[in-house]
Amino acid sequence: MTGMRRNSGAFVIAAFLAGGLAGASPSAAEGLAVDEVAPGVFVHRGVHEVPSAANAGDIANIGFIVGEQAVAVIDTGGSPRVGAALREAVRRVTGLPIRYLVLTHAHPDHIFGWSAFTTDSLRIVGHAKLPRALALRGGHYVRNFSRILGVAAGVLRVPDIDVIVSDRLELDLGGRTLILRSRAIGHTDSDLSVYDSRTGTLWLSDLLFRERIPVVDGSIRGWLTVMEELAAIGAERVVPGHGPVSGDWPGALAGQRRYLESIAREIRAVLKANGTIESALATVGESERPRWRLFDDYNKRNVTASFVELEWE
Amino acid sequence: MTMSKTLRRGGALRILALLPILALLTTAGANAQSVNQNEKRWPSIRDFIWDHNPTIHDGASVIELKVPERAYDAAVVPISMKVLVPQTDDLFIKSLFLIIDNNPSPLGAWFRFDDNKNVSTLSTRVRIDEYTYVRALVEMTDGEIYMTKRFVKASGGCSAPTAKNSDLAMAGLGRMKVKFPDRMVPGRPALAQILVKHPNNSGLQVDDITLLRVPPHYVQTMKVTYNGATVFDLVSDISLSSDPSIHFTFIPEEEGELEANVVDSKQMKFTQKWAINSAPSNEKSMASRTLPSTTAASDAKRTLAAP
Repeated sequence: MTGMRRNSGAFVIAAFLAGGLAGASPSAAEGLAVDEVAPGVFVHRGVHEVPSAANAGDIANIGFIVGEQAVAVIDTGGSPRVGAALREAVRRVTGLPIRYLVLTHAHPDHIFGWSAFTTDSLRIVGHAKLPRALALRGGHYVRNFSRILGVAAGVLRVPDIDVIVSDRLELDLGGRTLILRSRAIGHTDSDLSVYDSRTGTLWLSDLLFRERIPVVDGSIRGWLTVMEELAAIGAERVVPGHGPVSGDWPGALAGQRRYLESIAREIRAVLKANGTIESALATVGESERPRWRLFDDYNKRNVTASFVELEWE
Repeated sequence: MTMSKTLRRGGALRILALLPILALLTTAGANAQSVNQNEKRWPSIRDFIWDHNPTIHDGASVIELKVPERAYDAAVVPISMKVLVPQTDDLFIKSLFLIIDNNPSPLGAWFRFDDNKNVSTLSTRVRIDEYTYVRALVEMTDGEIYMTKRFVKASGGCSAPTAKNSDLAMAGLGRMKVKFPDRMVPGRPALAQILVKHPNNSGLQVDDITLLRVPPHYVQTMKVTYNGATVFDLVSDISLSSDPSIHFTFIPEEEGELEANVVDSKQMKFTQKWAINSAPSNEKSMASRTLPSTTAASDAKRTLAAP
């Protein structure tokens, strides 16, 4: 069932990309595939690939939530082209104004579609630390992602954040309230979660990875702590930043917790034996290899980042 | 004042003053062909270090340079160097340069060794912004220069060469940690590591919208001695990762004291000493004790447990 949906989604994405390459904007029939995972909650599944010119940075789950008076878009994809396709997907569903654009964290595969929404009268919403994260990393992301996607200078731009979330913020979409929470350092230092109280949908973005290997870009210890807070939230379903939506909460957290706990445990063992990063890279996480997509693309990065955090314990 | 003259005079402070100029001179064009294995910045970097265009020999048999093929994490790329030639009283290594061609500041580290003729392994962690060559250059006491280079690919999409936890980066500023083997034999080289808690950030320009400003704050020099003799004297810059780490070899005696003196770009000074004893009579007696700091520098006095 899930497999069939994913296959048809992949076809639609391929068609959309072909259209984009030919210079045509995607038509309604070929547009970005979105699933209505709960009434008014629409999710587009990014592919389990590293970002590339071929996928235009369409590797993260993005989507939107429709209220009675307005729409909130949650993350925008890794390029203006993905962002534009997402905007068209909104327009296929509703003519209501897009009032909010929520950026769940600073990563390029979630933010760079934002500039497709500049004609909308909307507010860009992010974690209180998102402006700093973008100021520190934005220039690097623009250069690096432009090279990876093969796009010209000026195509990718860093968004300005209009509204920041310091702890908790409610967005009223008319008959539907989204509760945004800023989280302590975890996946990154600027992670937001979004809870739709009408359907009990908890949109975790990259606070939760499924199928695709998690990326530690904040703090491994912090993330494990944040995960305990998240596990205590009662939710009907969760939307991960990568991988399929799940109705099993907090069960859907198990794989990510197992991975993070095992690399932390193995790194501590290397540290105890006076080992170096290089020795940790050779072994840590190997037992998890068969369980994750893109393991070789990110595991060594996670081990490196976690090693330099844990060596101060 | 050229850098080579400065080198001959051993004026580390003057080198520090020149580093930003070096960065400016070599920033232009770093991105344009960075995917190619170009070396176009190297001649200007070389000329900045040695203005007499010296012969640079192939260093394959002199200095081994280990780098990962890809910068898995752009903020933390482990680099390891190992000396492959015997050193004598007449001919030994005077200094070692670690160069990262396409970084904003290409001089990653400049180690000098005074009379230390036992330099063996040196490892550190650096930021790598772009596809780049990394070079280790050894300057011998007879003036001959040897170079080994390796190409490193940039990291994947979401990796950035910045600290992951900007809030924690300043916590415990200047605190140091030393690690060494459980067992050491007096007179035999031992591999140790010194870690310095420091954000080592490159600074951030004011953004028109957010008005954010992060002033540069990085470790400029780090001098490590054992029983008063130089182990290494490091001049570094923004290319070192946050919480700079140096692995190095030294020759332990039965009783000894390791001392590290760090000065950063705000002229904050951090000093820490560790008693490191390797008594052969007792295998488990390897002990390290943090001695009271001679410099009243913030958290440098905090005592660290022995590993």
